Amino acid sequence: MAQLRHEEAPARDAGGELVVLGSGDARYARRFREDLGWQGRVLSDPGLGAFAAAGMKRSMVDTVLNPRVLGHAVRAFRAGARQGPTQGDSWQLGGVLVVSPTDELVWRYASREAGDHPPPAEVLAALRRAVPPVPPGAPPTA
Amino acid sequence: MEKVPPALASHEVTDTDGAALRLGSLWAERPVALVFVRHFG
Repeated sequence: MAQLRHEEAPARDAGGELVVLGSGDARYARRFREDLGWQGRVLSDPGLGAFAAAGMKRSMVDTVLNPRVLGHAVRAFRAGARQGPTQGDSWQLGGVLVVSPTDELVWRYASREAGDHPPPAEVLAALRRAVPPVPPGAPPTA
Repeated sequence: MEKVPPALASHEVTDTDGAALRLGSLWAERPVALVFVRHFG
């Protein structure tokens, strides 16, 4: 998901926010923020309650044994990514939810296997769809 | 359109300072893309 760091500013420009949630503790969250130069919020969910409530997948096969995982790892390595020590649940998979201020689940992506991430453009497009319409007669915002 | 599961909106997580916050507070005023990462790093 590291490529999403390039989408932080476009997300803000679109009227939304990218928030990272991981299972490591606050110490690892701080390091992640510093290493990536991430400006936005990075949150910790060591008990994985949010992962479960969001319906994210947990699988030994799709984090270790699925041959596509190796392909994703090679592509990430060639792109400069270097994985550090794993924290939290090694079999937990990630994903992205886009949520509107009216509690609507506008878009959802659950990674099929480790290293499978949504195209950043799709995340941004969903964020734009999630911005509430400006009511007629509302004063212009800065 | 599908609503966010209440268990997700009410779930508490911690920020990088260790302070607790309710996930639903994140999108109270503007849309959020909540990125679930397998691990930090």
